[in-house]
Amino acid sequence: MDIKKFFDSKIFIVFFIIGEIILLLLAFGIGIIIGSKKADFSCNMDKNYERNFGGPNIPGDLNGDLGSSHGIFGQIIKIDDNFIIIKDSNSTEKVISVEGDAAIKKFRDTIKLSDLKVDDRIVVIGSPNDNGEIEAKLIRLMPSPPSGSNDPVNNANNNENLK
Amino acid sequence: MNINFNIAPKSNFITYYLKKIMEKEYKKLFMNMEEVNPSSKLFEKIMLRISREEKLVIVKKRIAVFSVFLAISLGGFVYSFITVQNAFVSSGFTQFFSLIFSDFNIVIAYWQNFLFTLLESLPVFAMIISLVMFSIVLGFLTFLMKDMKFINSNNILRKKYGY
Repeated sequence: MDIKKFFDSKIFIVFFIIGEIILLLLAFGIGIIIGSKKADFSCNMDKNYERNFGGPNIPGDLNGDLGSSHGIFGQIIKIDDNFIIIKDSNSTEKVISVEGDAAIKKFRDTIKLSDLKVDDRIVVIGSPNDNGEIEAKLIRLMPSPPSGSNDPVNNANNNENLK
Repeated sequence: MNINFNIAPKSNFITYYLKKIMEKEYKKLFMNMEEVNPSSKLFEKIMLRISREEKLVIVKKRIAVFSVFLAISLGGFVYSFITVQNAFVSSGFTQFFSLIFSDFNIVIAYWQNFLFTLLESLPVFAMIISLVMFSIVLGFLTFLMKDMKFINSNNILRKKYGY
C-alpha cells in the first residue's frame, strides 16, 4: 500500500484525531493527579507549618508555587534529629523526614545522616506524608557548583540577599 | 535615395514630392514583408503571463512580510528556548533526572516517587510557550517555502518556454 495514500486516507485521519484526543485526555488526567498531589502536600504543609517550623505561617509565603511533593533540590539550612530542613530554588523551606530505610549517597559511597552539614546541597526523592513532610527514600549529596555558574540555589540566595 | 533636407527648399512642391516618394517606399516595404501569423494560443499565453506577473508581485510582497515575521518569531523561539533551559535547571528537573545515572537501582526501586518528582518539576508552562513559538516559526517557514517554490517554478517556466 502506498504510504502517502495511507496518510491521506480517512481511516488514518480518524485514528489520528482519536489518538490526539486520547493523548490530550491522558495529559489532562496526569495534570489533575499531579495538581491534586501538590495541593494535598501544600495543604498539609500549611496545616503543620507551626509544628514544623516553630513560627506562624505567613499567608502567600509560597509565592503561588505549590512546590514538588515527591522530591526537592536545595540547600540544607537545619538538621534536627531525623529531620532536615531544606531551602529550594524558590526559597521555600521544606521538612525532610529521614527514616532508617533512606539511602544517603555521596559519590559512590553510602553515608550517614550525621555526615550531612548545614549549607550542603542535596537532592531528595521521597513521598509526602500527612504532616507536610517528605519522607526521604534517596538523598544524594551534590557537589558545590563552580563559582559563576547558573545554579538555582545560589541564584535564589543572591535574590534573597538583594531583597 | 538620399535627400539632403538641409538644402531642400521648404515649399509645398517639395513636401508633395517627398510624400509621393514615401508612399512608394512604404508600398515596396509592405509588399516585400512576410505576413506574420500569430499563434492561436498567443492571447492565452499573454493573459497567463499577466496573471502570473500579478501573482508574482503579491508573492514578493508576502515574502517580505513573512521574512520579517519569521525573524521576529525566530527571536521569540530562541528566547523561549533559553527560558525553558533555565526553567529545567531552576525547577530541579536536571538534578532529579541526573539521579538515573548515579543511583539507577534506587531510582528503579522507588520509580513511582521518582516519576512524580520528574512530572512535578517539569516546567510545563515554559515548554508550552516554547512549543507554540516553534510551531509559529514552522508555520511561517512553510508559507515562505511555498512562496519561494512559486518564484522558483516561475523562473523555470520562463527559462524553459520563454514566457
